[in-house]
Amino acid sequence: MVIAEAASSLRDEMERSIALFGKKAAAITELRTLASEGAQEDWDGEGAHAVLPAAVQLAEWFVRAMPDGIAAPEFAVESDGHVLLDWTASRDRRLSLSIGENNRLSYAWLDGTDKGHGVAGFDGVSIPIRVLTAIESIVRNGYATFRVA
Amino acid sequence: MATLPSGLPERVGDDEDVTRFLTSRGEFNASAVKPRAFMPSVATSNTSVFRIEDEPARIRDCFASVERAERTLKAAAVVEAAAVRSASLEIVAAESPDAHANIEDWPSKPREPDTEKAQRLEIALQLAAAAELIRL
Repeated sequence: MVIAEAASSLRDEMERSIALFGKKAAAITELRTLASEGAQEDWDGEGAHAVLPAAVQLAEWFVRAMPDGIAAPEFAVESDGHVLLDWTASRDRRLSLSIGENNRLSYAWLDGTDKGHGVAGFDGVSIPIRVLTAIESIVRNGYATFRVA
Repeated sequence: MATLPSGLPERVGDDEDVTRFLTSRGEFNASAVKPRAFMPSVATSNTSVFRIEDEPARIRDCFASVERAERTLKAAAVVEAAAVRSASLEIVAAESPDAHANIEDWPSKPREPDTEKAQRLEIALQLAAAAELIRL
């Protein structure tokens, strides 16, 4: 009985991990696709730099470091070759985070009439708590998440 | 008031709509304009817009008349000039081509590029929230 329960628990955990990784894998695939579209200089016709490979790598690490239950971001390549991660809960509730080739994250948020910006370090493994808190405060209601029902 | 070669007034009025051409998927999603759409060009530090309203056919025609890089027009973001100015930016006519204007006065901190980016993102979020997405 104990072994059966343990096996069931293990199976549930494996299924949950596969589901979660699937969401992150889809986000990472989207990131790589978008990055390939910005791989050439002047890809936007307005003098943009090619996307920085280090920025794409850091963005991928950021997605992998995101805890369960946080929504996958949308991605954009910026004019300076950085990668932009966007969470849009509604028209006036959103957060954007820019990742370049160093370990500094530039981010800003809009929450109704409240708004702000900040800069935080990212070691490639752990998302800074104040960045995580800011993302959670934007996406906590009504946003598709990594969480498995 | 002085007029430009296009016949438009030299000063962009607060009640004028300006249109940003969107050619990258990263600039919009199914329902909203994203901040990337309004972030300034790394080459000019401005955001290029056109003083045309939200009529799709007019937007397509204007894009076709100015596009030189063989990009595909996917959508457009239309925002009122007053919203640009309320975000502490200025919008300045810059012809030619006809009806062209630039969104200028983005925060500049050459010694603090990370902070500069964060400040610009905050403003771009405001513009994106104020903008109407036109699917083309």
